[in-house]
Amino acid sequence: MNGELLTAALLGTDRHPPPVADHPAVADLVADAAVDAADDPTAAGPARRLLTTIAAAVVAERAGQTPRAALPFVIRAASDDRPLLPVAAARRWTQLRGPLAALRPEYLAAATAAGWRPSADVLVAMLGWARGSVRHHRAVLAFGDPLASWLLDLLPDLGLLERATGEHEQHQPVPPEIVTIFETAAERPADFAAHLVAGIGDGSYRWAHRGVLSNAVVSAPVAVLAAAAEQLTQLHDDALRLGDSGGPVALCAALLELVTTRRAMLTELQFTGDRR
Amino acid sequence: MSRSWSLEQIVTFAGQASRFAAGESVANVGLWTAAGVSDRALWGRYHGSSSEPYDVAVDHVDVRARCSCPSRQRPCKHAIGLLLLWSQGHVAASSEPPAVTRWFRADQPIAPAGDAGNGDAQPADAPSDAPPAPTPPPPEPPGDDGSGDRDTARDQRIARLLAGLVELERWLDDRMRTGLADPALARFDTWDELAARLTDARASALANRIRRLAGKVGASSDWHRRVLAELGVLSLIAAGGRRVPELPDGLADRVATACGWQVRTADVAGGTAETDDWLVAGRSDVREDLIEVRRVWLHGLRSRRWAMVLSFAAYQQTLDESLRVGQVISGDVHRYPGASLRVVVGERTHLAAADVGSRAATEIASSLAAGCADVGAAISAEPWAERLATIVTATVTIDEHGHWVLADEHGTLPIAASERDVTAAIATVLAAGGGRPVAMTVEWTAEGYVPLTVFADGRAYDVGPRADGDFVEAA
Repeated sequence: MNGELLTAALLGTDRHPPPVADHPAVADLVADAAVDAADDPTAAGPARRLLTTIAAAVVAERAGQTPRAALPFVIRAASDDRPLLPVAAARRWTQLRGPLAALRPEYLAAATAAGWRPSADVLVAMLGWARGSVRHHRAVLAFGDPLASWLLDLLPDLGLLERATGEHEQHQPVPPEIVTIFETAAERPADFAAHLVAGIGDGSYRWAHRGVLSNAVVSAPVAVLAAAAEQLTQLHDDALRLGDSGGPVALCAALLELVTTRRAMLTELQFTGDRR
Repeated sequence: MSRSWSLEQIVTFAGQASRFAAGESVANVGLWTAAGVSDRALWGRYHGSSSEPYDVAVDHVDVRARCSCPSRQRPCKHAIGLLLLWSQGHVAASSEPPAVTRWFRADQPIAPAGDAGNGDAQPADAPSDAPPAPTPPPPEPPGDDGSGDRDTARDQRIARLLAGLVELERWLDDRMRTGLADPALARFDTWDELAARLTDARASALANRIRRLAGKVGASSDWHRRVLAELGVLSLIAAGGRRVPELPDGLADRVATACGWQVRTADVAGGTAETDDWLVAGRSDVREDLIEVRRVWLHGLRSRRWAMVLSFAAYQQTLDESLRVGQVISGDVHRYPGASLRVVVGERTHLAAADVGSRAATEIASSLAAGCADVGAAISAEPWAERLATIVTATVTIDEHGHWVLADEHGTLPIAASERDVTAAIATVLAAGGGRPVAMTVEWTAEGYVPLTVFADGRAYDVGPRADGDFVEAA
């Protein structure tokens, strides 16, 4: 659309006559429309003529669009020979939301240790997630480099926020009544599942402790997960059978989801099949 | 058997030369089925480019016509076309179908008491030497199919729609007279009142466009240019909408839809099926006023035709998640009238393996210039289109103004920077290719192109603008 049309439209046809279209085809089209509208004084007026000219010019511009001049491409990223993160593992990252987001640091560590190359969508999502934490950001770079650093050079908006938390993040204090779960996980891992389930069963561990218990599950040794899943399932089913649909069932369900997701996540990340 | 009308009678009945010419364009034997003529009636079924045929009936004695097309003009071109076929000897005598009989009985011409059948009830544009009208049969209750009521309601809808279009044209004229610098343009009421009137006129599609346009006023440094362009397109729709009866069938249907003429999904799903292997090429969610609109773009791997599935979600409702980007689905789609881009997905028979879609997209992808040509051709067919998809091989780079653009070896195209999630989309394009061109589905908008899907590593990365998770429910 040329400047004359815009000027006329800005000032209005009461003050500025509509210009003649600069392209002959558009001008012809406007002339044809004027002939068609000859019997209708409104349609033949300057306002309608301006609108018709604008419509024709806009459609001509859009229908006839062509690319602008070529530009140099950005410098290519260094190659990365690691095998690509499996589809299931990539999908898993997108599912680690809400309470399951607590598994993300472990996901990153496991993926890095397993030697995967991040898929494009996961890398971008990770960079976005890690913007608020120096620790997470470093972990993403460890997993995603050299591509991650290259991407951040091009798109600084994906980098750390100014208000990002430091290297050592504050964790919420553990209430004294449940501190034993962490001690059990560290000192007697074989007893972890039984301890957890017993605490939920006798009411020592309640819904209000869910956040801290989730941390315990997330940081517990991998070896305890199978037993934890089995015993949490048993307690959950027993509670349901007894008609107890209150706190213990909900707490069991939440922790069970965390345990099963963690197990699935680690299985997917240690996937040793086709490493294209 | 009645003598067929002469050409002169048909010309007179048509009333306008343009309508007669339009009628001639549909007077093609191959486009008609179930045609027949009785002592009083002429009927037939017209198969144009609409998914649904139109049922046409002409009372050649009382000189009335009825058609199921959306045209407000009476007689419409289909009635004229049918009369022309009859005059050319292409319509055989037959017994009147019950539906035609019911219609005639339910829709008797209004005649003064005692004057029935003397010809005074003929429409003003009836042929002057039309055969004399016999005494009509006594009035009977309307048919039990309620078709009379439906027709009346439809006519009322069309009248309201046309009134809305006239209103829109007047409003647009006022904007041009007073200019975009008029302070009234900055007031939301100026737009909202028009949108409300268009909603009342059942032109909801236009009302939505008006409300979206209101949001562009003052929203960017070049808003005058953007708003003006859209006002031009609106004037095009309004002018087209008023002339629907004169337009070719397919275009007429598309214009009617652009104006807000609604078609029942069930009617579309009952139309002709288009079977293909459909690549789910891309998805974009756009907030339009109080709803999220999801467009899912399908590309026929055999036909190379595009189709688009729309779904909507108001607050805390779910959007359609049944079509996953990157999938290839064998099955049917049914197009909305006028060979529209919009479709309803019908029967699905097969889902291809996960990497088939990515491979297919890589094969289909064209240069940016070819992608532009595809989009341009689609705009030529539907100049009011707001979003169109194409698949290109490209990367992104930075132009002299520091803006990200799509780029291939021969040129660049602007990226719509104001779209949701566009930074993440650009980042994914870069990360997937490492700076090299990759196949991707992009969506054209008036503001620029939006990357929707990146095809790389045998995968499809869905990077299109996504609905706000706080607004819509997860499926």
